[in-house]
Amino acid sequence: MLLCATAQAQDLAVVVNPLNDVKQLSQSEVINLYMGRKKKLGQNSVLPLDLIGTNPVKLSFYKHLMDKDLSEINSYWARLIFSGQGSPPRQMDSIEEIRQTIRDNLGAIGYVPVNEITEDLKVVFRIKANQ
Amino acid sequence: MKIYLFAFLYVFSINLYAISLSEKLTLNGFATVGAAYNDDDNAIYLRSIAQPPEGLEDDVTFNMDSRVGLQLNYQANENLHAGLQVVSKYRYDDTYTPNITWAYLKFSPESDWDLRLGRLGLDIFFRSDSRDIGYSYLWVRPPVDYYGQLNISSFDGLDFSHYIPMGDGLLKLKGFAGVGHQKFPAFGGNQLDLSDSPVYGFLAQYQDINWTYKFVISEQELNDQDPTVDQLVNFFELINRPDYANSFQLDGKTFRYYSLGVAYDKGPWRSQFALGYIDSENIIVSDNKTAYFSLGYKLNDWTPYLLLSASESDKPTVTSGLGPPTDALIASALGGGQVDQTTVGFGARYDFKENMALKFQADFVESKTDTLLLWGSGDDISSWDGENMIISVTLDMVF
Repeated sequence: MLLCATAQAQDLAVVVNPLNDVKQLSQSEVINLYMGRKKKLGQNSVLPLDLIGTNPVKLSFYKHLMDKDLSEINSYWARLIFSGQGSPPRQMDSIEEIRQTIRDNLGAIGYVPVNEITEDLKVVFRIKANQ
Repeated sequence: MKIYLFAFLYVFSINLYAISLSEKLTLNGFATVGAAYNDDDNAIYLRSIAQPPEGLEDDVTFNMDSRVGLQLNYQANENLHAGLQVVSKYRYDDTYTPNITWAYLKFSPESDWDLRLGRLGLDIFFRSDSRDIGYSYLWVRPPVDYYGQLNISSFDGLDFSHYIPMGDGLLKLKGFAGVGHQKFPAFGGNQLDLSDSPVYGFLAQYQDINWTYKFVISEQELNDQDPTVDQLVNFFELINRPDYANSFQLDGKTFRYYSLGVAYDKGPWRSQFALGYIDSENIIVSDNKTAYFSLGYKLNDWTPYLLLSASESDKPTVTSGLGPPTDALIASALGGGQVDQTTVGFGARYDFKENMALKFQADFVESKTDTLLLWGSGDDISSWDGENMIISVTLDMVF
C-alpha cells in the first residue's frame, strides 16, 4: 500500500536512446507518439514502450499525461486493433526491460520514475505526478 | 451456452493485452455477451438489417448483441504485416456460422504510407469498421438509427492510406475499392447476395489530442435482385409503367453514402456527433438522412451517458393508375425499405476490470408504424403503436 502510494506520487520521465537526435518533446508529441498518431521519433520509426498489465507506474503515466484511466486507453486501442488500424505500444515486463529495449533501439521511447533515470537514458519530457 | 460463457470468462481473465504466440505472431480477441428486452411484442427490434428477425423475437434475446471474434496478427518485418479476423455473430441465415471478416496483407513502404490487400473492414460510416467491438464504445451497441441500415461490414479489395502530420495531430487520407462478399436478409425471407457488388470510397480523417473529424464518401453498386422486387418490376412492366419498373429495379443501382463525424475525448468527457446521408438510385431503399449525438462523463469506474439518434427516409409516392387499394399495397411494400424513427437512450458503462466492461442501457424508440426497414413483424404488427422500450445489458471483453 505504502509502496503503491510512493510509486504513484513519483514524477515520471519520458526517455529515449541518447543517440537519438530528439532533444525535447512537448506533451502533445508524447501523447501522439503513445496513441499511434506520430510515427517518427527524430529520424527513426518510433517504438513506444509501455509497462504490462496494471502496473502503478503505467496508471500514473496515463493519468498524469492525459487524464485517462487504463480502461479508456484499452478501449481506444481495442477500436484500432480490431479495425486493423494499428498496434498499441509494446508491453514490457519491467522498467529494466524498458531500459534494455531503449539501449538496443534508436527509435524506442519509454517512461520511468525519475529516480530510475540512468546515464543510458535521455530525458525528453517530464511528467509531474501530483498535478 | 453456460459452458461457452465460462470459457470466455476464463480466456478473458488472462491479464494480457495480446497473447504472443511467437515474437512475430500475436492473438487478440473480443467478445460481447448481451441480453436485450423489448417491451412490445408486436414489432421485433433489429440491431441492423444484416440480422433476420426470426431469432430476435423472444422478449429477451441474446442473439442481438452477443458476438465473439479472434484475430491473428503477423508482423513479418517493419514493412510487411498480415492480419486475419474471424467473427461469430447472429447472421442472415439464422446461425452463428463464423465469418472471415478480414484476411489481408499490409505493406508499408514508408511510415506514412500503408497499402492493404485482401478482405478489409468497410469504413463507410463514421465508426462502422469497429461496430462489433463492444469494448471500444460506451454504448451496448452502436446507434441503430445510424448504423443499422448498412448492409455490409467488410469487402474484398484494397485500400491505401497516407498520413500527413499537421499541427498537433495527424491527417489520414484513405481510398478503398473492392467487392462485397456477404449476404443479407431481404424481403419475405429471401436473401440478397452482395458478393459481386462493387464498393469504393474515399475518406479524410484528422485527429489531434482531443478531437477527431472524419468525412467519408463512398458508393456501392448492387448486383443482385430480390425475387419479391422482381415481381414488382414485372407488375409495373405489365401495367405499362416502365419508369416505375426502372426505379424499383435493385440490380445495377447505386447507393452513395456520405458520413461526417466528430468525436471529442478529453479527460472524463467522451462525446460523438455524426451525420449520414444515403443517396439511392432505387425507390425501395430510398434516400435517407440520419444523425446521432452521444455524451458521457466518467466518474471513477462508471460512465453514465446519453445517446440521441434519428433516421428518416424519403417517402416517394407511387400512383399506379389502378386505384387507391393498389397504391396502398405499393406504399406498404415501400415502407419495408424505409426508416422514420428517433431514439432517446440512457445508459452507464462500468469498467470493473481493465479489459472488461458491463453496460446497462434503456432506449426509448419512436417509429412511424409504416416504416419497417429496422423492424421485424412480431405478434401483431398491424396493432403496433410504434413505441418500444428496449432494455439491454452487455458484458464486453477484449484481450
